[in-house]
Amino acid sequence: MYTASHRQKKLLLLFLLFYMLVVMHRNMTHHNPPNLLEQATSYLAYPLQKPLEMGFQWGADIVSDTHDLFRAHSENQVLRKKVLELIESRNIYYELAFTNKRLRRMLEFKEANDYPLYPAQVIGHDAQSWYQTIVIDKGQADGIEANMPLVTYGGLVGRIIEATNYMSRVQLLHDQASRVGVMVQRTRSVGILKGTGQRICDITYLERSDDVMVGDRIITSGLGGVFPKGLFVGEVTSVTLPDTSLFAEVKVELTVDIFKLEELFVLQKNYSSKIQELLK
Amino acid sequence: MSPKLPLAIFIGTVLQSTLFWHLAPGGNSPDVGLVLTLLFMMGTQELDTSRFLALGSGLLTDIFSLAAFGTNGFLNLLVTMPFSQSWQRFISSNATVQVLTIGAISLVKGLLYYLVLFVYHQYPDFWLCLIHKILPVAGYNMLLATLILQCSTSWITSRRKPGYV
Repeated sequence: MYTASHRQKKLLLLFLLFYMLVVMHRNMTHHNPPNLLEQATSYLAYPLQKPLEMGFQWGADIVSDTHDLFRAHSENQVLRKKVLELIESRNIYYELAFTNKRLRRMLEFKEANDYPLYPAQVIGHDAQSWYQTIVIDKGQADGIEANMPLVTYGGLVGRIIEATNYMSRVQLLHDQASRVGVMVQRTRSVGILKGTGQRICDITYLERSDDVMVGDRIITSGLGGVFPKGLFVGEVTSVTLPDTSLFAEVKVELTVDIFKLEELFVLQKNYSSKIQELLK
Repeated sequence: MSPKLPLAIFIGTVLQSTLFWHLAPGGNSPDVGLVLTLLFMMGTQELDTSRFLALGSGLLTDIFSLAAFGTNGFLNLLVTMPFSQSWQRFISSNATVQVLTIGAISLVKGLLYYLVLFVYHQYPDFWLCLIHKILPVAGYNMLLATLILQCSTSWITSRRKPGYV
């Protein structure tokens, strides 16, 4: 049921509809300056529009900043991963470079020596502290036998004390049970190198009168039949002449850093046999 | 009529024209003014007042959106004009129908808007417009209507006059 008021409203709405159509048409077809209705609406909206716009801009900035933060975080994760990859790549590169350097020195060592050498790789260290031994990846199947000496480009390393089919145990020079016949290269004075469990070892049975000086090079004497003569062992670091002893106390620093061994050579048995023949 | 409602539609329209611009610059946004007006129409018997609000919210949207002045207001008024008492009764009985009606009206408004643009600016591609403008806006309007109905069912119900079914 329509009342007069309703009819008036309807008429007004229809009029407005028509008016809006005119306004719309006018605006669509001509780019005129704002009319009165536009200006009035703008005037009413502006006081709210401005602070709202500022508020929303602030909110948008927070959203944007938060988004940037998350993006930075994810980028950071990616970059961290990349850095780790680069560090790993660099490590591989350095490792290759160092391996190359080591192997080159090994090759030079092999070419410079007439000994029949057999390359081997360290695959294990003795877990106990009682013995200073290492395990290499060559065994009886490769012709390895007990008492074969091991060398590297730095000098003598030790000898095989136990050989299984595919691996062997090596007694290192600084093992406390190790005894090696050595001589002072400069004076040819002969003594015995005793392992101390450390890189600094002792030479015993050097006469007090023997001319030994700090810095003298110590080589194997070849006596005993296990190690060939002339292999570099180390350098003298201290010489003491105790009042109560017939022998000098000489300390030698081994040239080979036993704890950093990776590749080495086993001297073939025929060399030992030749030594034995010579000794005979 | 409580002054809260025009204020709500006014703020809603401003929100649509400013907040959504920041959230989805250049993208589509729900027609908040139209949705609020239609919900008001469905929940009350103040149809004529609702049409004035539809016109006002349309004009506000034009101003805030810097769009062609009059177009939104004209279209809002046009699509709400066919609203009658019997139609209102049918729609108000079911929230799903309310939402679907809002979607349909939004669709009609979108199509009319395209028609206006086509007439005045030879807007070229109907299907592009339908897929990228008309349908998304209708969808957003339905979502917004659902959200508002879910959040303020009691408020909408309280606006109904006593004895109204």
